[in-house]
Amino acid sequence: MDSSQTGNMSEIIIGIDLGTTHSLVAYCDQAGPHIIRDQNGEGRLPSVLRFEPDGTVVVGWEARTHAVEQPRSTVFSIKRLMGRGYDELVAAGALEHLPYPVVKRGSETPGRDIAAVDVGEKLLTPPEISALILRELRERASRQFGREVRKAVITVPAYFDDAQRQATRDAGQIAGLEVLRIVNEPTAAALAYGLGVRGQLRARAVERPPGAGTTTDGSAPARGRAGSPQTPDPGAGDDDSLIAVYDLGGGTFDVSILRLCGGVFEVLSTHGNTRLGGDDLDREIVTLIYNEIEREFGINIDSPATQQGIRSLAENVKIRLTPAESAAVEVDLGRGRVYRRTIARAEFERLIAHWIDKTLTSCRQALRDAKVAAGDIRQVVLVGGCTRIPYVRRRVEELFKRAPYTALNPDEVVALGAAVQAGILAGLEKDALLLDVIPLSLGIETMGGAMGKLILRNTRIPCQATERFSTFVDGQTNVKINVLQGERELAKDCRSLGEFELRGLPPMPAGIPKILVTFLVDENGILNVSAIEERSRKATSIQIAPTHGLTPEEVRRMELESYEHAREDMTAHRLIDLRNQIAFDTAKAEQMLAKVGDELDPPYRTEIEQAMRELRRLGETSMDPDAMHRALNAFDRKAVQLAERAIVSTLRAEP
Amino acid sequence: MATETKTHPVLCTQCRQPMDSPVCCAGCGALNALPPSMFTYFELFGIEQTYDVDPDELRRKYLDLSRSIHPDVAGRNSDQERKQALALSSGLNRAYDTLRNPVSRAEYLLQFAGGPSPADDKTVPGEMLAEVMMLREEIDEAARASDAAALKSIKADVTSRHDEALARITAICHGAGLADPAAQKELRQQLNAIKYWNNLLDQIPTPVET
Ligand SMILES: [Zn+2]
Repeated sequence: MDSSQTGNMSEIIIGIDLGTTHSLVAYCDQAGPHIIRDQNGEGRLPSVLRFEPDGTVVVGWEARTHAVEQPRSTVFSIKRLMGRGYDELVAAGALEHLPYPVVKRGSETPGRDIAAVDVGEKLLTPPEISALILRELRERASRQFGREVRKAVITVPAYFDDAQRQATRDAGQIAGLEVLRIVNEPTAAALAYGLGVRGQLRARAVERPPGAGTTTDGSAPARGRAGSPQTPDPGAGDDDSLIAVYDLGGGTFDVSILRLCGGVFEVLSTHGNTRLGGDDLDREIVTLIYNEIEREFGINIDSPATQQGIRSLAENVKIRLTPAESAAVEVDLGRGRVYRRTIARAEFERLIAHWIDKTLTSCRQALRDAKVAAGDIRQVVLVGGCTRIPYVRRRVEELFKRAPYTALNPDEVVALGAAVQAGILAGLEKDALLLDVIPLSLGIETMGGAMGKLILRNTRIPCQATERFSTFVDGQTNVKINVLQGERELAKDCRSLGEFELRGLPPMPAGIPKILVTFLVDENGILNVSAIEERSRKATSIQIAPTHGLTPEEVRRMELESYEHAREDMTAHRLIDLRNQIAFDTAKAEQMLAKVGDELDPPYRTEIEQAMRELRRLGETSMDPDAMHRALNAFDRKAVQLAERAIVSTLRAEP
Repeated sequence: MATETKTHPVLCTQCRQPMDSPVCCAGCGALNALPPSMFTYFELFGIEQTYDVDPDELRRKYLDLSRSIHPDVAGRNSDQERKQALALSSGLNRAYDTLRNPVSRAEYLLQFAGGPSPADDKTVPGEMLAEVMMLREEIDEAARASDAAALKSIKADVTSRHDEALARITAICHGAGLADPAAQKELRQQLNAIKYWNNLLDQIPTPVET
């Protein structure tokens, strides 16, 4: 019971923030949540991948740094494609800004629409690409603990629909992770924030000696926000208070209103936009630069490398404008043409105002749905790198009429919260519990193409609804149900999650079979459908064809393929290591032979020279790592006598 | 699935002690194997069946029970446990959402008393429909003209009508009893009415707050 999660008793569960621009991994122990960092102390892993022609994949900083040189083989912002169809993405104009090729994946099932990225030798779906990021994080964690990590909690934007959540879970499975829980990002942030404040209150209560005049409560080790310069709001630590989490990430925006009480984190409402994030703010600057270059020089920027360069530049300008009032921009267009310009902070603010307006509209809707007023909110927690932008802070402050809480690192807070949730599942955090809601209404397509809602948005999860279905014609044995998610009145304006087909009904006159279908939304916000025929009380088989997602069989196949791939990679690595070792050991033997060869017994000398030549040949030609390993060991054993003689000779030479 | 039948009071299947709430045993922590649909929403919380629900008490019980039955806590060891935790917490969530809202609570009590469902009786009190149509036009007009002052006054008007209907609902639920068909009819009409007022309130665009 008291065993630490990092001890040998229990299996490690990691928490992963799978972000649009960056991803992080964290874990939880008795002291609280911790980010797992790379050798350079950096927690963030850029969610950027480069696919080399030889099939190798580079993930992270290196891929990001060289994105400008290799625009077509560098994949970024894959999260924006998760769980979405190609046709949808085209209709939304979401592919226009991507320098890498996205195509429609072939499918035998009509109505199915799945996007995939063309990475050269093959097509990879967004879950497969996300799995490569997850695998990198998983390996980072495995190195930290010195053993395999197999279980994870992964965060998603609160406003992700069922298909996007499924895609995230599929990505985990393909990466060889058992995804124990999908947690909403703002909820995870609230968890990290709330435990930090509670930890601080507890620490204070412990530290204050009875009757002592002065205390040092400012230095109490507060979990999650140690060393922060900001003193907590006096109302923030109340044991029953309302907080808002404003999460402006790289590609998505979420706002959640929560009530925190005695360790229970109760989400009252959530709202958001899965197509609004830092990428869009960057693009405002990109568009400005494109337009001005076109006006000034009459050039249309169409080279992917220049496009990627301007994209990086725009991101850099956005970041520079946080501390600075203005940022200088320079683009070398070749042949002596240079575009130069200074962007003032005020100008940037005018460019992004309409995006921030949209986020505030979401905030107002969330407040309405939670039935609370902006003034009731005791604390506003900021999440996502973009919330460092002074303009964003100012607008959020205007709406909630209070300065937002900025003591937490907005890049790390979601991963820390994911680790806390992992701690809850591992039984480490016994006080805390998350009660979340479903972000978008769920329903079915009814006669005439309307959306018949069965579960309304912001309903607490887990939740379930049941609906009775019957047949329309005599002897009908199948019933098809189109399951929808969204707030619009018409089925065509909502997202289709998939066609559920009830099969094997006993042939009866029309309207006689009574099939009771249960739609259960679990704690992850993921839909599970089951059905029984009420007369026979027999479970009816359901065939699910996900409209924009993968079938369980497809996911299993991808998992297997990626496992095979990992084995191949491992073999390749081993071969390289063994070849290097053979080259090194034979070269060393050759040196020693040159030095002390004359002192050896002639038969031994012949034997070792021959063994050396054979091992060299094996190292150059063999593809069998086991045979190479055996030969290398045998040679090393044989060479012991040679090495001893060489040492003696060195000692002789030294005095 | 469940072979046990419902007893009064419900006994814990593990320790055989009477249970405060049939969702989960306060004594030994065992989850109830019976599906939540076998109990009234009031029984699930172990509270008296009445319109006068103490919201703080209801919330406290809801949070306490959730701590024992949420799948994050109770569903980690086996598929069977997880299924049970999902069934119990989705049942509890529905019961909580129904009971904490005074309108859905009245609707639940009316249904329990065998009164008319919204499908059985769609009527509203007196001249209400004409008023709703008139107000809808006023909203459209004020929204077209972006007349914030007019929208604000319409909102106040609709809110007061909504509150009047809610007051009537409370009075009927407090009155002689929902067994009386006349009381059932009036409650049905007021519940239908409040749906119209809520829809109207949703249609009023919120002007950007300053
Ligand atoms: Zn018991």
